[in-house]
Amino acid sequence: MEDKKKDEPYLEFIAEAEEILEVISKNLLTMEESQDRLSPHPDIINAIFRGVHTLKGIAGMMGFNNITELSHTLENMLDAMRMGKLTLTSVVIKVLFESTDMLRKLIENVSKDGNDNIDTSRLLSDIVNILKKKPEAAAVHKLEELDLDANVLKVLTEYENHRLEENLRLGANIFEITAGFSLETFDKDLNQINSMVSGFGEVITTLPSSGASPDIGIEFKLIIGTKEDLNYVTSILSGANVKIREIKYQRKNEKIKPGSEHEEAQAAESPSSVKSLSMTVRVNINRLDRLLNIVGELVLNKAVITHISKNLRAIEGYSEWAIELEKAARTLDKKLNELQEGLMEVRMVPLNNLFDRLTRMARKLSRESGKIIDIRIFGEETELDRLMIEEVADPLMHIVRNAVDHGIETQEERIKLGKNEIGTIKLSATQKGGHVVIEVADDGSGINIKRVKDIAVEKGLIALNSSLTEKEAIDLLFTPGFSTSKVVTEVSGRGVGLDVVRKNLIKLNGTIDIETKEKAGTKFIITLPLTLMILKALIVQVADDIFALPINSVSESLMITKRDIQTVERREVIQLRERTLPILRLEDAFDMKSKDVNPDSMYVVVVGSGNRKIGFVVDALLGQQEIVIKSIGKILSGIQGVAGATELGNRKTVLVLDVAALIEESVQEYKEEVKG
Amino acid sequence: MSKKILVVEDSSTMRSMIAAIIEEMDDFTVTEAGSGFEALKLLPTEKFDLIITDINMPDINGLEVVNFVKTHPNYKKIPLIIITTERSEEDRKKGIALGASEYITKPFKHDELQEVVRRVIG
Repeated sequence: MEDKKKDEPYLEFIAEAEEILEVISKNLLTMEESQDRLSPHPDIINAIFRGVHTLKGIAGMMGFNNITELSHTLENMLDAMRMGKLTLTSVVIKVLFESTDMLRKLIENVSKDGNDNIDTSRLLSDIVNILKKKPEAAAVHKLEELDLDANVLKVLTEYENHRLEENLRLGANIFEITAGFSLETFDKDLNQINSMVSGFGEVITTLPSSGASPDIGIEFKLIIGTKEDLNYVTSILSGANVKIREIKYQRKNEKIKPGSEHEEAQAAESPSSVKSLSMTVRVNINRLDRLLNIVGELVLNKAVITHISKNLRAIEGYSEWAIELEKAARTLDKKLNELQEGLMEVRMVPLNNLFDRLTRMARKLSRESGKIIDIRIFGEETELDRLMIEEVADPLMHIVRNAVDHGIETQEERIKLGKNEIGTIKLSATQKGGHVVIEVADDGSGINIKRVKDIAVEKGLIALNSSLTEKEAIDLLFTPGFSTSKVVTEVSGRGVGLDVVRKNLIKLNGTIDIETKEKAGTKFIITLPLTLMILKALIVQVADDIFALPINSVSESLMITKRDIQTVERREVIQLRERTLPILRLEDAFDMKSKDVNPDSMYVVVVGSGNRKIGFVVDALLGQQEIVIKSIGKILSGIQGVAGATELGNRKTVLVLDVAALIEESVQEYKEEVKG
Repeated sequence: MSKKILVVEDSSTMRSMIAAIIEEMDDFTVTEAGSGFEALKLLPTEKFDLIITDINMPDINGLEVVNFVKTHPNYKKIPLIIITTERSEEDRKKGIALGASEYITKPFKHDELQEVVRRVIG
């Protein structure tokens, strides 16, 4: 042994083994520190694997059997992990740390005594137990069907193959970057490109080739995977002198008879995201907007024609022309509906990008707050109008932020409560009829209903002994006054800005509900219509003006006489099926003068839901109509209670009412009056 | 004249062991490359008679080294030996398909390596 210790390979072994352990420890720490420690960057796992692999190789050559056996078993586990056959869990991480400690002990022993005689059997059986768990079935991808130079596939190692498949499985875009360099500087130049790419994706392989001038230069092909698109990749790498090509998936066997089992199997194998690479056309959203605008204008024209048709029939009765026109108008209506639906379908995009953004944000926030949170995503393939996705992003960010900041407890608290130390936030989306339901559920502390009520009393939002149902109490969280309260932030954290969230969602004709259970968690349920732009509206007349009310905020309309109106606490109300319904005279809300100050009969349009119902008093109901909401100019945009403008069939421009804002305003005014 | 062998291996221990084993044989001199990149830089500087390369390396892998050498007009005649492990049978097959003459599986004994080297450039 003494002789061996002086051998050059022996000293080299100790030095390299120590280096390897340092690299492993560093990567384990990076993994541990990152909040998404259960799904680390593939390079981290691969770096640990490579270290253990090298250690096994050199220990084997040197004849250190315990080190070889432990690193061999560990290598099996790491290989299963990097090849996607074993899921990373807290138990696996624990074993990784213990193994690193053990390897360090073994190597210390070698450097001290020249042998590695330490018992490692317990650790070995731990690893073997982990490996006994059934491997997850990995999706099969036909890499041969990628529009990739066949030579590239020939030189991929098994691991690189797996990374390519994994990128495809996760719906990433694959690019081939080609660049030529001089022999002197290619390593530095490549490193530069590598570090640029690692900012937005993963380098799957780096492939050298002799290129055009083999004596002076060298050419490289990099295959990278990223969520970003060609434009983005091109813009980031624009400084480097490279060629970029997107690698597409080419489906073969396209012409198999429908209904055959083979086809079904094929369909199950090819993931939707990969399919879309070959089956879709990328269109700038502005072009679609332009088309939709034209359709919107056609809808208005259709209304004009329908209007003329009705008038003609009124004048001429069922004359030949009147009937012809009516028929034509009906066909136009039908076809226009189809066109509209088709165009809406084209505008639909899956939610996965938004969910990715939310996940990244949640991970960043949880890292900052030092909580360990597992973020799970379901139904990210659900589609929603592109514009809707943009509009719903902020409200969702807000809710997810709340869930991280205030919903999920700290690790210590969770352990104390007997919960899993890792909190979970579940993001899910499903389509239900003409709506998409997005849910954000956490398994955190839930909302303390009693505290909510207490605070509402303190703030004068409700009377001291008012009996509220749980639902009504939760509804208080959406009250503007509630949100600014610091006390609430500390207690439940749920009040912050939820009024704004709801307001934004109502603008999209959406709704938001909360389900909560103390100490078990909170679920936010957002329901959105599939499309945004065109909606049905109730057209009403107030004095000389006409307004449009989105029909989905209207629950009913009724005719009343002035004797039905009572005054309770200086506020006008009517009785609606034994409930008191506050009413708002729209001419007051917009400071208009009614022709007849006190007409005998009038109409009440009931809007809102739950305990936030209110009746708008209007002079006449003019019927239902499809409208296209257009934004009003900047000058008018500050007006409370107006959501936008639209044109009616008679080419008259009318304002579309923002029902939620009007309800809010009315409630606020009432409160101020009561206080005053 | 002694034959020149380029050893491409990212583990320094493994590299120096291979060098020691080869230099035990007469008439062989070894140049060491610690990475695929380093190998690409060394290739134009000398005329090598044999390249021995590991498969699993950072930057570019051993299969890519084989492919590069075998498709390069100046180097395609140089024979290659790949160093593999028992787990990477697929990689070994690919290496041979790309034009490597022989493979050797880690861990190997002195005479095993010497024998393979002799077989290739005896």
